[in-house]
Amino acid sequence: MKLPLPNEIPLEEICRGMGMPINAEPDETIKSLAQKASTLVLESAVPRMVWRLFPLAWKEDRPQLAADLPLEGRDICLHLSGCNGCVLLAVTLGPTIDLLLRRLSAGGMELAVAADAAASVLAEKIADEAEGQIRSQLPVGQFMTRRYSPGYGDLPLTVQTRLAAALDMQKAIGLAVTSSGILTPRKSVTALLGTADHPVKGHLAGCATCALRETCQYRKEGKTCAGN
Amino acid sequence: MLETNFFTKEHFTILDGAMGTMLQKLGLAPGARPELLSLTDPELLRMVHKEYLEAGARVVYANTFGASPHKLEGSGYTPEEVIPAALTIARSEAQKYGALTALDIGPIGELLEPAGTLCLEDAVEQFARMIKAAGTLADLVVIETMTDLLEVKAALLAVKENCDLPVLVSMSFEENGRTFTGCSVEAFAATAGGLGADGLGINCSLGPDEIFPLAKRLCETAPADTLVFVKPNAGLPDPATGQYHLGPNEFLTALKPYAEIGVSAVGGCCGTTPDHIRMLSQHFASLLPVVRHPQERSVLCSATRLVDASDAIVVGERINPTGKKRFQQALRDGDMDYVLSQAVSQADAGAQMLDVNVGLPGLDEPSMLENTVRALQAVTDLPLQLDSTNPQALARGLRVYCGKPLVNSVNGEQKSLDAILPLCKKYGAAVIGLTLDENGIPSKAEDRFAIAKRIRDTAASYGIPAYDVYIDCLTLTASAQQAEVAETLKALTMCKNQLGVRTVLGVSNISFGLPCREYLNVSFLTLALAAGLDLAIMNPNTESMMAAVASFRVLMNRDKQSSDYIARYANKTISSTPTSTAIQPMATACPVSGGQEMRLREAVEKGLRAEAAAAARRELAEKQPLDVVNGILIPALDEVGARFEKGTLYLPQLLQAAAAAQAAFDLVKEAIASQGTPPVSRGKIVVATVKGDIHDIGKNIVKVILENYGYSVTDLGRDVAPERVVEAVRETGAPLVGLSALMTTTLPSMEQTIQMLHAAGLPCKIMVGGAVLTPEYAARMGADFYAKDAKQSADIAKEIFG
Repeated sequence: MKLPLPNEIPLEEICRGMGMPINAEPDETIKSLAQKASTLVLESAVPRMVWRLFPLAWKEDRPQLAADLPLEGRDICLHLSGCNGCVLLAVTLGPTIDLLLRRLSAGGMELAVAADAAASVLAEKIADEAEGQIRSQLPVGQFMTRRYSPGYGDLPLTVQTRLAAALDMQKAIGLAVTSSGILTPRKSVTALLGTADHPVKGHLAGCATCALRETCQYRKEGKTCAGN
Repeated sequence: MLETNFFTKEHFTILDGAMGTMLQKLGLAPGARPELLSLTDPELLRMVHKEYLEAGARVVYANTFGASPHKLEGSGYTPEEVIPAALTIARSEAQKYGALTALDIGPIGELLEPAGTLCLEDAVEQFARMIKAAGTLADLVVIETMTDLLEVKAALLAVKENCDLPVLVSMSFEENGRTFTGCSVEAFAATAGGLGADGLGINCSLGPDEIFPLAKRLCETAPADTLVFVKPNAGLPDPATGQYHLGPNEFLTALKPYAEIGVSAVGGCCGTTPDHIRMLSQHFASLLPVVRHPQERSVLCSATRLVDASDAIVVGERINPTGKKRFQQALRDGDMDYVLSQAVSQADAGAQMLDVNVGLPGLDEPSMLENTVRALQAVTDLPLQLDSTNPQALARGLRVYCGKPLVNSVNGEQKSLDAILPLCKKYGAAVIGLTLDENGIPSKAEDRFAIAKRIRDTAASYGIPAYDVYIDCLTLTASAQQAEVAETLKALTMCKNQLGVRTVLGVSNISFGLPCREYLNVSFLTLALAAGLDLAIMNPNTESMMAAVASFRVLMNRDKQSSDYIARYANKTISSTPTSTAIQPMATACPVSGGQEMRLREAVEKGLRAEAAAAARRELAEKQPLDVVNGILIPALDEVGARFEKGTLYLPQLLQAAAAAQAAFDLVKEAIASQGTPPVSRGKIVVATVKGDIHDIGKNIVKVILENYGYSVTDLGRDVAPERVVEAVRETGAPLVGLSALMTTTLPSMEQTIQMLHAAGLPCKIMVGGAVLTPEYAARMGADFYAKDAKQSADIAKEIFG
């Protein structure tokens, strides 16, 4: 199903995605670059979502989606702790964004980098929108955690293939997974959100198990990518 | 009796209904693989087939939809086990009813290039395995629920190359008449029809009400000899429950109007049941399909862009090395970026198609054309015109092209026709015929017309209709053959009016050898359009030429309300001051902005592209190209790099400076190419994003920076197999290789690439980079350097090359 586009993509987040430190003030040329990228990305994106609520079984303290889809790793375990259901969500900006990014790369990198950053920001915004829609449809007395995506913490990327099959993502929104676990079209997000009949907060993986631990710019600045 | 007159369209044929949703209703778990039931629960499948046959279905789709090698990976079963089992079950039931059994082929489950990493040939191979696994158990093949036109092509090629069975294809569209990948109904009809599908259809995704207008469009555009069919869902699914809402009666009501539009086979997809099919059977069995009279339109297309040749089409001519030293150098260097930049700039200028000519003596044209077509369709959606007389090159280019292309060209010689027309037929291409033969170009219009007629008739004998033939009556230079210019125009009109073909001309040749060529080009273009020219091969970056086409479309009442013209020229003025027109003495032809001229170094440091180009032009007028590089550009880049390292300037500015430097470098390269001296390089570097990874933005940044410093970078692209890296290093002798990987899942293939480079005993150094890498990990993998960013990769290169 299609999702609405926001009117704009926050410029400071685009600048951030282009490698500017948090406290750096972008100059006019960078701002106009980010603005141009934002416009192009909003023109090309066709966001879609598919989601489904699965029962969550616990086998020896390990969560398992539906009948036979075990979720590996300590972090997802903590995230889904106390939940008896799990929403599987996938959103994509569609293949036209990929075409835009490839086309821009053929004409000089600065706009391509800005558009890549803008599309990544937009994909997260769209995932926020999708999450909000699902949350608003929860029955009274049902609670849901925030999003948790494969590749984050110690949940391996390789689980993407199984998630794709469980949601029939290719048929539903044209989203497929390469054999390396990469989502195509590229500007896409899959996520797991635990549900329960009591308030659940989920658990962010934190830096301890993050693959980007050593090189992360946020961490060097004493911050985290979760925005706090 | 078999349903043998299915393909004669003499009566309605009833296709079966859903398999997947039926099985789920019978207890199949979500995410489980229905294909394995053929081995684990054959009786369940037998029952579903039997119910559909009882209901009146006369074509049953075997349970092989998801039995691609990719989808079966990890299931413990192979297509060779699953497919014969499924077909045997379906066939044993179908035969009792005289019904046909279809090998059902769905999407592979992985996206093809450029969206994904699967290349066409691997996709063909996967489908071929499925077809071979079917042996003699299927009566026909159906390819269904497709959303990618290139995947449709791969499947059709696999069918045609591996069996003699009839084949139906259906794609799934959204309500806007496009698939998820943007393929339109018309592009599907033109492409799949051209590739020899026996039936074209629409299935899944939508209900019968939503599909109806799309089916109508398909009936209007599918080739006359194909049958058109639909298999809609039982309405749209409820977003919360996933349930489909149309009952059998409502489904039939919605399908009844289909009898009037030329559809000759109907069935159901998701949510339909034997009851739905029974209703269809009772209603449609007594009806006769309406005979379709599709429009015989001359169209060319990519997956997402369709060009109708009846409306003065601009074909960009600039992807062509003839007479262009810079382009020739780019081809020799394998500099695909230069070729792509030519495509993008022509597209931005308003070209509607692109001519692609990459033939250069000493180069492997077949692989060059294939690679260029693949690279071009990753960055532009303009339909392509493959320009070569080399049948091997055309075969390779046509094979990987996604859509309906135009071949440029055949001529009146039997040898040319016999070599190239079969390729056009096989790959569903339209073709340009040049009005010349072994005796050369006839001077009289009547003689050129005679050759055109021969080409058209020979094309017809190969099954290529006249509306797919584009005759080029050949532009002769006015300076050498002035009397024959009018003959060209006369022949053009004769062909257009009498042969039912389209016309095409390469326009710019008219002015060769004369001054102020643009004047002659524009005038000749206008005359030719008036004489009936459909496709103008020209330079779209010359505004006066584009203006001539835009004006023609207004004056001939084709551009209604002048809307295209206004869109192009509103708020613009034509400058007529002497300095901005072409009438200038040659010596001052280079534009010089008055007063304050920015120095090259400053322009690069500030990241100002146009200023950098202008300044470079001035410097090159006085200095040797290499002095400009070493004396100005490199120091400027060093300064920018140093500020980047200090954190006083950021990636966007670094890239802007790189782009400005690149603009200057392009002029340096031109200057070197025009001097005829071999290009000078500070050293060769091979870069690649490793196998399995498709994140190439970081690698592209590195490449741009390295090129700025004057290194020759061989960019192997993304998802590059270790063998190709080894081969490229061996071929180029590059002393430095840069590898990029962004994902934890693709680090192993980076390590494998490093090992293979070591095992091959190549003396190169290896630098690696990417988000998840650390210096320690890089060292552990055996890399010589870890580059944390593009600037550092340039420092490493300096260390290696001195």
